[in-house]
Amino acid sequence: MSDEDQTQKQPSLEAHQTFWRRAVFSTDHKVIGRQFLWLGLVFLAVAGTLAMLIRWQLAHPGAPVPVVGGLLFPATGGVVSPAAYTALFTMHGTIMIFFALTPILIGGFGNFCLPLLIGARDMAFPVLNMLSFWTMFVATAILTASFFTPLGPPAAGWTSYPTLSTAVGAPGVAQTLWVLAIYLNGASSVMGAVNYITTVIRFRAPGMTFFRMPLTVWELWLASILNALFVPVLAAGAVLLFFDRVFGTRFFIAGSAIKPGGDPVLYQHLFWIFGHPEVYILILPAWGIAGDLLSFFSRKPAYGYKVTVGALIAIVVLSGVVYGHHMFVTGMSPLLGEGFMVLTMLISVPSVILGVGWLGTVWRGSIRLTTPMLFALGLVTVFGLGGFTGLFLADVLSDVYLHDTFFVVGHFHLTMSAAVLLGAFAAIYFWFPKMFGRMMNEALGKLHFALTLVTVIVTFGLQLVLGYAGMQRRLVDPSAYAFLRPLMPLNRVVSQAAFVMGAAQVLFVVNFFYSLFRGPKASANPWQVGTLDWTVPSPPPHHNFDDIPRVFVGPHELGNPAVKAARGVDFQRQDEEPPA
Amino acid sequence: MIAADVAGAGPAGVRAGQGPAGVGGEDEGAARATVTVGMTVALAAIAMTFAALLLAYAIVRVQSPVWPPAGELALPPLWGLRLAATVVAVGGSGAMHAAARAGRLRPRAARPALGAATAAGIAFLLLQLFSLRALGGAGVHPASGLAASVVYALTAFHGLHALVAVLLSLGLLAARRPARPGRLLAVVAFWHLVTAVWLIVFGAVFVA
Repeated sequence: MSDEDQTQKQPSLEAHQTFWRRAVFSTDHKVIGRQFLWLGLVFLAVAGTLAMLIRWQLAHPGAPVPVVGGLLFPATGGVVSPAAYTALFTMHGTIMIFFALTPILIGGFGNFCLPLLIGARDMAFPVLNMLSFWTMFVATAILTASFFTPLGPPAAGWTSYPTLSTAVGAPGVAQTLWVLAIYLNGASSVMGAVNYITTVIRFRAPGMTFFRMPLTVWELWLASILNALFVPVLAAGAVLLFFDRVFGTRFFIAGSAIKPGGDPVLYQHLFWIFGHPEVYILILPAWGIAGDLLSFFSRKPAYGYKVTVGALIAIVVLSGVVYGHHMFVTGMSPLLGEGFMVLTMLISVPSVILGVGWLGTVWRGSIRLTTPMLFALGLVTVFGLGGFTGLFLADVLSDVYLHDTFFVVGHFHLTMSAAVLLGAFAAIYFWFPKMFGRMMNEALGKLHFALTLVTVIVTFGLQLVLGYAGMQRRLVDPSAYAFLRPLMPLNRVVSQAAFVMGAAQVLFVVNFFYSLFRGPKASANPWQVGTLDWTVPSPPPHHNFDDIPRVFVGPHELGNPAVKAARGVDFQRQDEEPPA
Repeated sequence: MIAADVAGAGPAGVRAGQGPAGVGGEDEGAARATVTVGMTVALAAIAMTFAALLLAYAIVRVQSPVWPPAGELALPPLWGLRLAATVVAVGGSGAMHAAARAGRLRPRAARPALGAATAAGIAFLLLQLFSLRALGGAGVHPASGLAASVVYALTAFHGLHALVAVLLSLGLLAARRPARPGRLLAVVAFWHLVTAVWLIVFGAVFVA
């Protein structure tokens, strides 16, 4: 493809003139990325606060929540009632997954970075991109409204299984609002996916072959493919649940001898056909960011880049055919269960290839322990821990025992929550200079990292122990059961670690806002890396690139002695011809 | 939406800061290719939604030894209305196909066929509405049973998509300037998907 072809494909972009078009209804991918980031961070704080309330209840069942209890739960004198507790964990999970982590990584950094990383001026469909954000915004507004309904917030779990979520199990409008919010959230994700997939296929700069794309782009692209194919399946489940709740259809209402009906487990199929790929939708962008950062800050090319991409594709394909491991205890035929078990176990092969790639990248590198690098290393550690515990849940025999216990809670928090969160922080610390033109404070960042990593491991690691010891999830008061009473001290340690984790995030908030206004001005390339995003000013101009760049090399050309000798730096810009 | 987006994104082939230039014919092919990729992804996503709905139907149907399930009344077949809707849907898609062919040479030439397709789409929606009313008249409601649930949910959710197809076509007709081929092709592709889904629903739910 010639330069001429590429510039013809890419629209020229006139900067928006009015405030509304510039800052609110902007079609600029960088503005939309920042909007998604803000939205995600706000809801991260909300969902984190809900987690603190959950942990308070599990450490001190029946004791009034200090300070804010009277305000939040006036009817019970500040005590978390069983109804409030189910609402708390429902909304915590829903918001974290759909309205915090997804918007930050895919909405925020996907939007901001993807065009910059492939040398494009914007997304392929800028107006659709803007609609994607505002659809998400409406979804968040609807979900927020569900907190304030007469019968209380949705309380059927983030999975919202029938019969808990049917009109019988969850009367009132809140659960219907939940369904609507999830549907719109999915629509927003699909709009984003259409843009990301098309932009990568059509708007790569000349010379930016697929195997010269940063891992971040690869993984955002693969996550978008999963989004486009599997979010619609959740949408179908949501549509049927909506019909059941609003129009009285009977898809998920179990039949009886006198009244025929549908099948509550049907919803679980639809949910998990989406739900398992969703795990990868969340973690893929975080992996990609970690893969790139490990290379950048080890001053070495990513080890086994092409093999890593192959492993990622294998994981994406496998992620679509393993969902049954979430349903081993639904009365599934043993043969089917075995099939799902084997397929799930197979995922460990490409996952280990990923891990070897990360370790090989860091191995004997000139490691720079910057804050983004620390968070990337933290992601690898935490995901490793979580990944190994997945083996126990993939196996039917051990899963039957561990199912619905805190072992599951610990496992998925380590893999798709804490690891993703660490990836999100890595991305924020890394791209903050490009997004806002200022550097974040490294000392505060490192303190934030240390406290977060230790508390993440203690909190979720001990949850594995609690689950192994037999404590079920979603219990409002574990101390009510004699066999769980000896676990209460452990529950309190988990909560204390979680409270420290929560408090540590104040460091991040302070650093974020202080740096936003008072941080030192960032140069175009403060981290000294060669990808296209760091070849433009910080923050980039409206049209990103004056001229569409021509790409000569891959994204991880670091530590090459020939480059060092010729140019005096240890990195090779993607848009510069390598020295002869 | 996608097509409108790219078409409306402004002329390609200009460096930033040079200001708008005339819409050159040479970038038309590139814009069309971009729309094709985007539309393919979007249609795949919509198709997945219907595939999942039909999977749900298949599961409840297979689980039941007889259909409609024991204890539920047989639904009135309403062959006249549903066959008419099917004919109209296929006719509408045919007209859209003709519109796409005509529009390839001269955008304005697509208008008559586009008008015919839109009329067919409106007729389809009315026929579907009549069929649901007829069901209600026969005492069959969404809550009557599983078979009724399937008919109501699939007809209504598919009908919403047909409504979007009609609105998109009306948008094209109402535009002051004739649609650029990329936009027209995207709407045509959406129409074909909506028709194809109806044919599957018709076969799987009403014939089988």
